[in-house]
Amino acid sequence: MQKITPFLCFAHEAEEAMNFYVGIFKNAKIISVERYGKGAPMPEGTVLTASFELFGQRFVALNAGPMFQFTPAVSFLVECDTQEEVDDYWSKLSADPQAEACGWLKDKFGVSWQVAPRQLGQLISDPDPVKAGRVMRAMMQMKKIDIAGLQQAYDAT
Amino acid sequence: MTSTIRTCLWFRDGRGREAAEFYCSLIPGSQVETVFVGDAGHGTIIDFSLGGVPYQILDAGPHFMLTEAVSISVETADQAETDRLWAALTADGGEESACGWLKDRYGVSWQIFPKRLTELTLRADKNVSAKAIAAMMKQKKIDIAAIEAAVRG
Repeated sequence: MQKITPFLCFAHEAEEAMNFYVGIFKNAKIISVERYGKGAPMPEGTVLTASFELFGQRFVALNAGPMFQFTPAVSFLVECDTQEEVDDYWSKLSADPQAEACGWLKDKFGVSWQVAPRQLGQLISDPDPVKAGRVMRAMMQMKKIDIAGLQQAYDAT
Repeated sequence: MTSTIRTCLWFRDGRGREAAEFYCSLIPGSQVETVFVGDAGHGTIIDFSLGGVPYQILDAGPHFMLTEAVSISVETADQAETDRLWAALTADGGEESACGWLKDRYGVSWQIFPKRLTELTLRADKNVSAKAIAAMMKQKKIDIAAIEAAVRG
């Protein structure tokens, strides 16, 4: 059993969100669903907590009512190997064109994600500050990350 | 390579690296993996593993505020571990909240939740879980003996 679990509070979409995420990521499954009982702050039978795994990692979603707001202060960073993966996650997750910037997006539940190829981390931490700076500036202009565009900025002379 | 989802916490105040080191000191099996210091204005990115779960702190200025909507849930084995983590995380400007929740000195929300409480509130029969939940609702830090007593009632 995982000791540390990222825990997300939805207003009332915990189960829908779990099903959505489990349908998108690999090595994903529903672990358990617990429901509110009698006398609870939500109607009996409403999902209380939903536990699930994405890439084999445990997450929990809670229905808490409209108490808390997701903000980009917490985002979930999906590390990708190929442009195809970046494109796939981006098209499935992004629901708010206004929120798209620098590899960040918001899904239909208001949760923020970063869809980032591993190359991005490697290129912006290049020992040559000129090359790294060019990659950083190119990235700041992008919405969805374009690996070829990053490489072009890195290779530019 | 194996794909991962890394939970990224936005920090506003330049204390991200300190926070990552503090968290790693509290949870066994944790370590700071990489620290990336960007150009001026692009912040610091600290990748770390908390009990084997990938986390990141992006320390990059006052754009976003952490909220309780995403918290770090820790399953504790016994009261001593609950007490130790609760004391460390609420110290130096942290705040106790209700039902095992707290906000630490950096504004990150945590739940310190004994394994036994999950068994009593979610895995037990309805009568037991109703008593356990009622007792839990009165607590800030979880006192598992008091909840066990309420269940025996």
